[in-house]
Amino acid sequence: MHAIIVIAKNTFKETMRDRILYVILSFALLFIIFTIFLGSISLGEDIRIIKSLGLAGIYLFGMIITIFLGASLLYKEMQQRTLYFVLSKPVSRTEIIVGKFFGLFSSVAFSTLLMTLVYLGVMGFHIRTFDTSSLLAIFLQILEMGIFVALVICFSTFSAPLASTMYAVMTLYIGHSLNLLFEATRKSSWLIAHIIQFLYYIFPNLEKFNIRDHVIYQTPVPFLSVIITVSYALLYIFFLLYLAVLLFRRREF
Amino acid sequence: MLGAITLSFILLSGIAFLQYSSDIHKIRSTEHPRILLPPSILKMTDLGLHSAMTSLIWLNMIQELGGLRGPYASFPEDIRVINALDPKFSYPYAFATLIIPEIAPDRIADAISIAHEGILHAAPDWRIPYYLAITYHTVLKDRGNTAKHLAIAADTVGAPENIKFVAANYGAWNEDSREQTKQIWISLHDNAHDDMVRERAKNYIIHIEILQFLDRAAKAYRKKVGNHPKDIHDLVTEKILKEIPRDPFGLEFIINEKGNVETEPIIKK
Repeated sequence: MHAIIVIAKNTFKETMRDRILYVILSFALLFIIFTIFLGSISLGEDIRIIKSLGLAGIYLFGMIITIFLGASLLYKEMQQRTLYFVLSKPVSRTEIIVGKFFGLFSSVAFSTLLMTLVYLGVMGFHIRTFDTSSLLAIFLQILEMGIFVALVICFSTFSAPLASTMYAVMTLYIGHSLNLLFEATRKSSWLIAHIIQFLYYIFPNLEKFNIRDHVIYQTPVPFLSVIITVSYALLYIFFLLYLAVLLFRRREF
Repeated sequence: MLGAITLSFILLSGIAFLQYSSDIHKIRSTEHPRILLPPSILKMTDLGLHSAMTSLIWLNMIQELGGLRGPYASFPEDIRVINALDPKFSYPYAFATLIIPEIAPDRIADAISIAHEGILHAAPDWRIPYYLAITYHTVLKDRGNTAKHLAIAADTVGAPENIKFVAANYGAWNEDSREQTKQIWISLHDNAHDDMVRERAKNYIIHIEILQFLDRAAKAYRKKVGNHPKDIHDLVTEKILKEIPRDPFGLEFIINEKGNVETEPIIKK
């Protein structure tokens, strides 16, 4: 446990020192503030514009940070051979993977919280109250990013950063299109329909983390659906980390 | 160091100049129709950010208002894409219904079709049937459809009380339709959130109040002289008024054969 915490702390410090994080964060914060201007030219729909674009900005930039930082996390250490130093210590490969996950997840969550603070400030300036409804949407976004942190760590155990980035981006698109694909192939042949159905249940379905429309239109989110979504995220993260550990154990150094 | 700064400045100036030249060239060249991807493709590629995508489409639509008369104005298509991606986003329907007849009178059929689609498919929004009622009343002079859509607006969840008042009393006023029209515009002004619609409503209210004021002046003229004025300026000549008020739309006031005050049609062609 102690090893996991130490690795997590070091990973957090290392990712927070990465300059690309600050560049992306700066753009994200500028974008969120820019939504004030976009809202002012929307002919009365300013709250909707700020909410929809603000939440979208937090999501997109959070994903960019996750994928760019995570894709090279393990691979960089393997190339620079700094990982050998860690492996020479009484630290298991499982502890390395779990520590890396918590370290990167903390960085991503911290960056998301920073963007959230700016967003809440912008919303507070406009509606003069605290926008609590967005917090649930952002919480689920952070969970979705948690899945991606585990995913990119898994990819980085066996592929180069560029390939890991591409796999992660493809997973992102497929994950958000699964519902549409599933509906579209219902009338296809038996084989295709069943293959798609199999993929639908196995692939990470990212739409369940998307409650931004509920926030914008202020419709309630069923508590049970939130519980199911949280459980889904935790289970999928556990599965991906387990897969990453298995792949990492098979690598010889 | 100084050389590097100078060279960077020269290069940036060149870039800015080329951008300026590119903008000038774009203004002079022929406009091409904007291509919007089908909703099914947008849904698959927007990473679930449907509301953000429709917000961007909406912002783009507003910029196209000035070019609405052009052959490539794509308001109806944009609204259909918005509806497919985010059916609850109802305001574009209401806005298009109100604005299209004002800016492009030859596309009133588009405005009515958009409103009917909005009533059927968008989230319940009293503004859609209400603005459609305004279009029927002021442009098409169709009292039947005006009353019908005022009633739909009044029955829609969230409709303000003064909308319900207007709907209940439509057709009940003993005065001519000007007072009804004025009440419709007053309720619109009181409930609209965007400045463009409020400004427009305010101008209509002032326009109608001037007409009512001039009508009273024309009655005073008839009482004094014995017959109705032949020209609007007779009201000034007979010292009924000091001057003829200016219409917010810049229209000229005239006296018709019956001695009532009129203007050119409210909707400018």
